[in-house]
Amino acid sequence: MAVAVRRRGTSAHLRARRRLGWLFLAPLLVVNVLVIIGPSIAALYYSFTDWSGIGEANWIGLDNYTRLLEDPAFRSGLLHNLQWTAIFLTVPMAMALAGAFLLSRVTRFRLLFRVAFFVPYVIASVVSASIWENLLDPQAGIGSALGIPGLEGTSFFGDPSLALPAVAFVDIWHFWGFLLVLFLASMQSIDRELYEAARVDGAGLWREFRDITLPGIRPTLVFAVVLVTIWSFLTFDYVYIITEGGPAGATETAATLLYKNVFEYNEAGYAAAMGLTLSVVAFVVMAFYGIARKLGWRV
Amino acid sequence: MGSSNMTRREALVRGGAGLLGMTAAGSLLAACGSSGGSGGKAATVAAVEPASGDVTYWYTVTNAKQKAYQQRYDFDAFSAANPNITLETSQKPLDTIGRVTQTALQAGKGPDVVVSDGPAPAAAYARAGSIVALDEYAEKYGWGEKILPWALEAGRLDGKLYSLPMSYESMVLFRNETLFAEKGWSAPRTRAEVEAIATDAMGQGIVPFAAGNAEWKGATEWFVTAFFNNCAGPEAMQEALTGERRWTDPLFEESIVLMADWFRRGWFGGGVEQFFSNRFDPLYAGMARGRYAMNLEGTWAFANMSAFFDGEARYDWSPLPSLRDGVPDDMFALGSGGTWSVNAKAQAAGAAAAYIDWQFNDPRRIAEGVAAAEMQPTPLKLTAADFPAGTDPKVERFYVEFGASTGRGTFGYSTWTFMPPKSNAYLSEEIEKVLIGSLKPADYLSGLDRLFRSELARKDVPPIPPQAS
Repeated sequence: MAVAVRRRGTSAHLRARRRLGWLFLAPLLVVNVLVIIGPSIAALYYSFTDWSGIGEANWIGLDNYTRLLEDPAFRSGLLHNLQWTAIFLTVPMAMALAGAFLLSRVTRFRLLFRVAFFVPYVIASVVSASIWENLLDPQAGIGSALGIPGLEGTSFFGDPSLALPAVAFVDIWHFWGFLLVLFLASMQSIDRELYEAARVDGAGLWREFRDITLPGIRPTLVFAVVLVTIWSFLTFDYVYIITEGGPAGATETAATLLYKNVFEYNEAGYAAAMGLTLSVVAFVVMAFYGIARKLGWRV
Repeated sequence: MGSSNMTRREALVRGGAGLLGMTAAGSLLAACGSSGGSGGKAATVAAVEPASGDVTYWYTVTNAKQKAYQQRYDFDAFSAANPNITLETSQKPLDTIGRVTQTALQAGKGPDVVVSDGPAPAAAYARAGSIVALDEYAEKYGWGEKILPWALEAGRLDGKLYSLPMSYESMVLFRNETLFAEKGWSAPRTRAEVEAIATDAMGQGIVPFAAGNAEWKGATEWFVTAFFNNCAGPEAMQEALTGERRWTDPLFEESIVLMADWFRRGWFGGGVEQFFSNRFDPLYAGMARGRYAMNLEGTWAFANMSAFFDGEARYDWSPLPSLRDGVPDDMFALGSGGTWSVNAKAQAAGAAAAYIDWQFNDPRRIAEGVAAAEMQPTPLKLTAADFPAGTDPKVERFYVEFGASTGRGTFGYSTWTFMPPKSNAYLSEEIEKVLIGSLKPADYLSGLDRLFRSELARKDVPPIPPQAS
């Protein structure tokens, strides 16, 4: 009897705690409904219309989606997104892993280094982009100022074959510090005794990194891969600020194309279909991640 | 005089582009959609209201000098002259005012005096019922007598007037006069003379034309307008814009082929890749130093030219010569940098119209803005007598010659004023592919023609003023 009373008491206490939890969550949920779910539903509706962005919208069924399948500009944009993803899953990831691993061994000025690498991430993209546009200017940039062969007179953002990697370089400069801090925090949770034991067994730096560090930060690494993949498919700001998708569409991504369809081509309905298609990509990536976790993978 | 600032140059991304972040723009805009558009039919006003009440106005400026001038001689002067009207102004970023206004109008909000990028976007607002017809105000204020006819007519949709142009402008050929004198060149009067100067300049390490689009992608469109009008010719332009001639016509193909050829010779900005990287201020500075010989740009550039040619070097301008036999000389393409309309939700529409009329009711005041701050004037019938003493004679000469030339009924058509929105966006974006050689001129024009036909069928093309017969 006493047990039953205690259980009832515990159950009531739990319910009260849950109610309190929901109470704390409520403001956030309201905001989410207002600024995310509501517009998302509206975007879903408009993706089936010919809405120009102003005035009435007429229902056109799946026309926007069938048009997407045949649109070479959208295909080209997605291809650039894939290239962007490939660049970002390799270059900044490798830089951040190496940087974090080396930094994890530094004991002096660790905070200073961490801040130094992280600072570009908190600089507004407009500012970072302007800095690099000036630095890489073919006439007045560092290449010309220092007379560096290969850099002098090179139009990094004006040459269609260089523009995409050049913009990606600027974004990497801004972004990789974020990954570094993320990986560094994760590495610091690895038991130091594992490294000491490895050293006793004669392991070098590479083996420590490969056999202890990488497995130790695997969940963070996978999470970073998921984030980078999703963000790469939605990338917009640096591309739009620096090249607006040019020259000649060389840096056009799905998101910049979407934007132009809304505000230049007055095809907001079609742009909504593009936006939802991109959301599907993000959803698929997240679904893989979720399923892997459900299956018990240590990610 | 607020007009001075809404030009194609005005949308430069000098302050940095707006950020969309990682969310879909469609969602953002869609969020404002539910309460927007008022029924889909253009709104009208029952009667001209008395000019009193509160008026809100979103504006944009390009430089501090013009901002100070506008505040004092436009906003403050209007408020002093109209004590019954309270004018509330709000400056918006140069590159976002169009988007912000569109989103606000769709949500049933926005300023009382609506600024749009040109007659075609204004027509879209009219169709959505977001702005009112201005015919009764036009009659009340006598706009038909004050405003250049072509500019007034461009704002009509289905016979009703919905927008008034904020400025008028045209493409002209600026030159470094000091450099020209030094090299023994004179203002080119024919295509052969332009080509001879360009070839000579290249041989001496001087880039013929200061040109670049790194800050404003639409800068490439300026050259399409120039080559269409000065190579294909104004008659062909009029016929194409009214649907009587296809954009695939050999005349237009010849224009684009010629333009691409000049680009590939490195005449514009020093090469195609360089063109995509060139920014405006270094171009003007380089031109003043003699690195570039000429600059084919719109008359909004008078302000920049006078700012950079402030030393010993002098500049001057002339119309771009005819680029093909049969195309008239001394011809200007009609251009308007933006338009004003009255919001259908304005509480005091009459007061908003009174503010718009303020921009047209005193030619001398408007001309003073040209003289004092290189403001672009509203499209009034200006004469030399309207300009105060001290006006830059080069600037005054343009407006007087433009008025006389267009008054004779011979003029070209700027694409940013007379092309419908989608065709204009295509024309501006895809030309880059022609310049790098990944799109053939014929294919470029086929795409333009296809898009234009669909917009023409939807009546998205603004009224096209006819040439004198």
